[in-house]
Amino acid sequence: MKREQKYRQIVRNQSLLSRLRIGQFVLPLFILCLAIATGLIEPRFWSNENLLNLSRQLATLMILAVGQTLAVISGGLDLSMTAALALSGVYGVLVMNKLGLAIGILTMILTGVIFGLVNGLIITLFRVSPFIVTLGTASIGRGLALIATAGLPLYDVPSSFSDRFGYGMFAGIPSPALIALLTLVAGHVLLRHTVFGRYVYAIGSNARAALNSGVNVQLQTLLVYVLTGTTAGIAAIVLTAWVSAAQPLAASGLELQAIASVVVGGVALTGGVGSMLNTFYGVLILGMLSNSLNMIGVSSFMQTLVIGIVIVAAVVLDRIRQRHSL
Amino acid sequence: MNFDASDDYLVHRDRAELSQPSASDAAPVLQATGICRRFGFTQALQNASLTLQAGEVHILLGENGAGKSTLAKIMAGVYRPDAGTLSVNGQPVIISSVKMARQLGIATVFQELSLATHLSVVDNLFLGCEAGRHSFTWLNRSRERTLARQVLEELDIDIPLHLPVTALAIAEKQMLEIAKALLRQPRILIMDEPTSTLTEREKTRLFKIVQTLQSKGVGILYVTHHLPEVFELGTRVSAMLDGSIHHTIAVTDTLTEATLLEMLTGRRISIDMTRPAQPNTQPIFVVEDLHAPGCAGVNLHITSGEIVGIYGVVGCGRESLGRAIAGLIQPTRGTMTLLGQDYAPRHPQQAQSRGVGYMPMDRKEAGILAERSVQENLNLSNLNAFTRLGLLSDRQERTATIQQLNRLRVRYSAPDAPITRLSGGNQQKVLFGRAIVRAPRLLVMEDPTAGIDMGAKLELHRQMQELAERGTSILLLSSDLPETLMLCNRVYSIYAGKIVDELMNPNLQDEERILAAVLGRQTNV
Repeated sequence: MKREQKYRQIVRNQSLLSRLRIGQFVLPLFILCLAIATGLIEPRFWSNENLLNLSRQLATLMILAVGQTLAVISGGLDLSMTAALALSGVYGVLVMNKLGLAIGILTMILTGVIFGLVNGLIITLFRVSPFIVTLGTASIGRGLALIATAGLPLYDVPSSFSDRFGYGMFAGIPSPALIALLTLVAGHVLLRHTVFGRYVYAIGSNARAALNSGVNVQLQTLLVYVLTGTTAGIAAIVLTAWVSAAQPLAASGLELQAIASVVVGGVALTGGVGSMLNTFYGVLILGMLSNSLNMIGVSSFMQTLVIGIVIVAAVVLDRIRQRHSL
Repeated sequence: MNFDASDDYLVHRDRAELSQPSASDAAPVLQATGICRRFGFTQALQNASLTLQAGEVHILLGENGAGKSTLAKIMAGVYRPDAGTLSVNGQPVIISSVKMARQLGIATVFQELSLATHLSVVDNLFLGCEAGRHSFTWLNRSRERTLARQVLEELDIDIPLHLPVTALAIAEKQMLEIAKALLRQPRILIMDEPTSTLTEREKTRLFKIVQTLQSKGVGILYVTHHLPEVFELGTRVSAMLDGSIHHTIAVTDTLTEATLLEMLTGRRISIDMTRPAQPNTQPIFVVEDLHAPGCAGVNLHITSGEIVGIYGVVGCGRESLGRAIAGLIQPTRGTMTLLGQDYAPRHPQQAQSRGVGYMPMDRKEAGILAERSVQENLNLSNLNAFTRLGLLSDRQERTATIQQLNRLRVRYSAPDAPITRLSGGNQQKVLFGRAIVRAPRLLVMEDPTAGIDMGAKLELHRQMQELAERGTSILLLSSDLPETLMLCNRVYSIYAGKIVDELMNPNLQDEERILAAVLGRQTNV
């Protein structure tokens, strides 16, 4: 028993040490410095108005990044997330105008789920690389959305919908931000506290070992893509409500930003490593960076350049850090 | 941790009467002296010395893992030796790369095929020595094709030059590999088990080529574990044991297989291991006429609490048998019965739920989750034991983990430390824990002690015996013959996909009989 206590002690010290590891402080510190610096140059950064705006801006990216984190940790990738988002938004608004708010919202989520299911089935049944499959289904999704709207954005979004989910506040938090936070927490619980989450790590780390150990790799992988589709559906609710329009070409390029923020946060693209906290930091950095640059008055051309540099630098730094910790 | 401990385990008996290398006046074309090479905890080569004369076929014999391939790879420039010297034509050389070996006139046919599968036959033949030396020199296609056709004709192989290598049969790939080596017109040719995938017809052709090269004065080092090839091809034969070469003798008419087997064995004195009394005889698991890729009609049975070994050389069908029982591949024919009920798992998950545990070989590739913690690695097969309302209970899992790690005697710093911080032996104990955590009725283990230190090996052996005493049947598919002989109640020898021999209560004196069986010699038993 004494031995067990000793082990417990070691365990406690170890986890304390690992919590204090410098690597985990770099990102929050960077975020803090960015916020303080921007605040000094442009005090309006700290204004209520800007912070609320910022949180709304970040919501869509955050929700997409939660799904993307699951895919990346499992050793995969989902390039079709924003296509699924656009399709969900379009179908949802079309249904909403006929059958009401609740069914419209359900349609958005269900479209995402089915989209993910199709991705997952193709990936697992035919053992095709997720990169190629989702690249293809991305085009399919956009195509379906364009056909459904004849290429035009749908502006007839019920105001009750956009008021509630786009501009509404709940307990002092803008509802998009609240939905994003809830999604993040749900993703965290799923990844850290369920058997499914453990399997996602295992598959990303060594799929063959997972299979040998009796993990149903096919089924779990399928679930991962169902979940990326689901988050795309949730993101569709937030984005459609916030911009009061369902656009077939909505959020193009955002799927790459979601991957970038996942990686900037420190989730390894090779799979098996990372957490939702990493993703949270990553989204905050990329989102705040463009907000800050905007506030300071940097041109949008310059912003694109700076964000690109930050992404490359973050990944290179992370690689260097990993090499040193080995 | 210290490999020297093995000296207590395996004692080398002096056999001076066997080591009489034939003296030769000319400087050998290739000479290796005192070569040592260590991989992690494994001393693959220990003071290995070998000479190769021009115009001789020097056969290198040895069990699985004796170090034959490592020595071949050092001569080919794939690995650098930790100690020892190499000389070519009497000149000391340092072979730092495959390219350098080639410049010295050394060509190699590797055991693992080293072809670029998506390139065509002709491109593969010239891979690495394209007519032009620099990356952007124009390739002389027609000259390449003429040369390729010549060498394939010489080998009597009829395959279209433009075909991608993926379209070839395995034996054709092997012949292509040999053609690739010949194309370099080597003065020294190293062949690492070139016949393991060849049919009789191709073997005959290959032997003819080897003899032609020999008559042209090429020195050939021929690594094999097929005894008949010694008599068919060999000028001299060396036996490799535990990383060193103890005997080199000339192949003469008076040489017998018995002498060769004696060279390969007859050296070990073991510490005594107590085996459990003969367990009850009612079989719990029966395999009948099992056919799968590599298995050609396997019959075997195992009773409760029995440790049964299946021993054979690489490619004998042993791996495929293990994978079929684990549910990784489906047999094409035959039945398996577990506890009187039909057993045909379609997935390892199903095998586990029927009480069949599986511990695969190759810890790194197929066992550990390198990025994850000790705890996550240990509990991968048993997570449902720690869930409450669908959520994993951290405390419950951690307590169970610590208990289990102590029981397995794993040396670790913390359950959430990365598994890669543990030594190979301790990683293997964790994987053993993962495989047995659901208290299986049958445990399939492939090479469970490969590449781990002696202490961990003995510990794992002890735990396997404890498990068997509690009633688990263990099917041990090991490349380690002494280990198989010491642990098992019964040993099946497997050759070319079939069980060829069965031995009750084996001991180390049975080594010769088993080796003879798995090397394809007809037994009179």
